[in-house]
Amino acid sequence: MTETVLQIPISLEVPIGPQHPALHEPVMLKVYADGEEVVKVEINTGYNHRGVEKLFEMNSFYKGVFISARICGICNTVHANVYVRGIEQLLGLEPSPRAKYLRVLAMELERIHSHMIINAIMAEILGFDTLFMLIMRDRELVMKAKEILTGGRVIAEYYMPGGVRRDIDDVKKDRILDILKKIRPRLEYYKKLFEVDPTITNRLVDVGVLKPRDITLHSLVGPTARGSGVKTDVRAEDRYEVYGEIPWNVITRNEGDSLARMLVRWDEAIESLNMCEYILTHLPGGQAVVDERKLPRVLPLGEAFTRVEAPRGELTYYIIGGGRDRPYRVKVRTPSFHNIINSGFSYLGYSIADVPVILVSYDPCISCMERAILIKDGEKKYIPLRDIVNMKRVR
Amino acid sequence: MTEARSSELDPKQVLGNLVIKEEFVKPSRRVFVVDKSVIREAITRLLKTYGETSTYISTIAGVDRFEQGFIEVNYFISILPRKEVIVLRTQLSRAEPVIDTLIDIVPGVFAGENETYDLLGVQFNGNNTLKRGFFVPEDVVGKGVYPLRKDAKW
Amino acid sequence: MSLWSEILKNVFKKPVTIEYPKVETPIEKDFRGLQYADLNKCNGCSLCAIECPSKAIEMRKLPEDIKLKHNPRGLYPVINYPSCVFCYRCVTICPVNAYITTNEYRLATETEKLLSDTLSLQTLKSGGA
Repeated sequence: MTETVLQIPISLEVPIGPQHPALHEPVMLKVYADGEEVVKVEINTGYNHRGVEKLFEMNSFYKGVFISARICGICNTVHANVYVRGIEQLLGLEPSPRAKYLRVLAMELERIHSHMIINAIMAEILGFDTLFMLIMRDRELVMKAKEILTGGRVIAEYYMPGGVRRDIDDVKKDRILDILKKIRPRLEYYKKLFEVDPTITNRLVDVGVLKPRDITLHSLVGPTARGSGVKTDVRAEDRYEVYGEIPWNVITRNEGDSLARMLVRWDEAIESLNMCEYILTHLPGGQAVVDERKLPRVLPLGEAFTRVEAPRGELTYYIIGGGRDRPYRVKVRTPSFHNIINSGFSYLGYSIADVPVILVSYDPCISCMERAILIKDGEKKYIPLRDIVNMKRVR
Repeated sequence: MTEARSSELDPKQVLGNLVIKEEFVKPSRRVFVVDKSVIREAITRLLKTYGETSTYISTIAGVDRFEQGFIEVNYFISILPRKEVIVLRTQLSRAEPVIDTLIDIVPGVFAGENETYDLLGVQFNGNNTLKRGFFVPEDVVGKGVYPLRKDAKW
Repeated sequence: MSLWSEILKNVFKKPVTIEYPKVETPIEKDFRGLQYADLNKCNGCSLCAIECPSKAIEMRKLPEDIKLKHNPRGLYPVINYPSCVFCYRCVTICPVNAYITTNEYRLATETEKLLSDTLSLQTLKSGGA
C-alpha cells in the first residue's frame, strides 16, 4: 500500500503583501500559482482599521463633517460632500445655486488629480519611471488650483451644511482658468501616449478582461464597470448638485481590459476639465458662504441615503438621525470595498506578473476600504508643546 | 420578455405579495419591508425581471435597533434602467440574528455579508466564507465582542 | 511617437525641484496655516474648545496681573499644535471673530515664538488693534 507523498499538480502559495514594493497600501493577496499561472486568490484585509463608523456615533454631527473628510486623503472632497448632503436632507436645508456650483468645481478638480495619480502609479508599476515623474510634475498645477480655491492642497475642508466655507473673487477665477489652460495639452498628450506607446500597450492589452455580467453580479463600480460597457454613473442617475444643468457625457468603452479602464480615466479627466471651465465662466451671483454660528444643533429623526461619484466609483452614505446632536448610525460603503474584495475571481488564468497590473487598474484605496471599530483610548497622556520646548532647553 | 418592456415594470408589481409595508428614505427612495424568509425569492424575481446586467446590489447596511429589540438588515439595490435605488428591509431578532445568504445567486454580497457578520454578529445561513477577524483586530475578537452593537464594551 | 521629443525637451530645461531653504515655496496668502486668539476680542466663552474635532484647544486662566473687562471668566484658548488638524472650525465658530489667521506652515520647530500662548499674550502687550 503506497502512501501519497506529494500531490500533483502542486500549487505554490505566493503571498503578495501586506508590505510589498508592488503595492502602495497594505493589503494581502495570497496568490496560489501553478507554474506561472494563477489558480486561486484569497484577499485578506484589516491592516488599516481605524474605527470610523463608531466614531461618527460618538461625536456631534458637525464634527462628523471633519471626520468624514479624513477617511481617505485623496477622495476627501467627495466624502465630505456626500455626508453634508445627507445632513442637509435630514435638516431640510438647501444651499444657494452659487454654493452648488463651487462645490462641484472642488470635486471635479479632485477628480482630475486623482486620475492623474493612478495613471502615474500604473506607469511606475510597469517600470516606466520617466512617465511617472512627468505626470506628477503636471499634477502639481492641479494641486495649486485646488489651493487657490479651497485653502488646502490635499484636504479641502470646504463643505458645511448650507453651503461652502469660502468664496472666490475675479482675480482667483482668472488664475484658475489660466492653470486649466496650461493643463489641457498635457492631458491630451498623456492620453495619446497610453493609446500608442508599445511599452504600455504590450502589458495592458487583454489583461484582466471583465464581462458585463461579472461586473453587475459582483457589484463592481466606477471606471472598472465603465471600461466594460456597463453604463453606470451616479452623476447621471441621481443628478445631484448641478450635474443636471451643465453639459457633460458619460464615458464608456467596450473592451473590458486594463487598457480600457485606464483610458476611461484619461477621458474622464478631460471631461472634468471641460466641466471646470464651464463652471468658472457661468458662475451665478449671490451668497455662497454659510454662517456657521446660526446652524441648528439637533439632528431630527429620519433616514437619508445619499450617493456620489467618487473618482473610484460609487460612494454611499446611510445616515440615521436620532433626535440628539449625535447621529444614530452612519454606514459608509466606499467603492474600493467592492472593487478590491469581490474581485478575486478576475486574476485566474493570468500570470503572476499581471497581478499588480490588474490590481492597480481597479484603483485600490485601502484606507477608504476599512473603517469600523473604535480604538479605545486606554492610557492617554497629553504632553503640551511647551513641555517639549522646555525639555530641549534643559539638556 | 425583452429588456425594453420589463424596465417599465414598477418594483412594487414585481415584488407583489412579498411586501409587508412600504416606507420612505430621503430623498424619496422607496423601502419595501419583507419577511426574512422570502429574501432569496425577492432578489431572484428582481434579477429576472430587469436582467442581470442592469441591476446590482449597492450596499448591505445593518442597524442595531437596541430599544426596539431587533437588528435590521437593509439591502440597497440599484436598478439602472429606471435610475432608481430601492431598499429591501428585513428585521431579525436580536437574540438570534439569522438570515439566508445570497452568495450563490449574487456573488457580490461576499464583502457586505462578511462585514455585517464581523461587526454586528448577523449569521448568514449557507455562507461558509464567514470568519471573524475579517476587519476586527484579534484582541477584540478574542473577547467575543461585536463592536457595532450599542451595548458593546471592550 | 514615443517619448523622445519630450525627453529631449526636458534635458535642456532646468529641474523643476524648488530648492527649499534657499528659495521660498510659493504659497497662497490665505492658505490654512497657524492660527491663534487675539485677546483684545476674546471673551472666554469656550465655544472653540467645545467644537474642536480633535480636542486640541484647552482653556487656561489668564496670568494673575491681567484683568480684562470683556473677559469676565478670565479664560483664554491655548492650541496644542501637534493635535491640531487646521480645519479652522475654531475660526468660523467664534462669535466675536477673535482668531488671527496666518499662512505659516513651517511648524516643525521648537522656538518659543510659535507657541500659542505666547502669541496670544503678545497681542495684549502691543496695545490693541
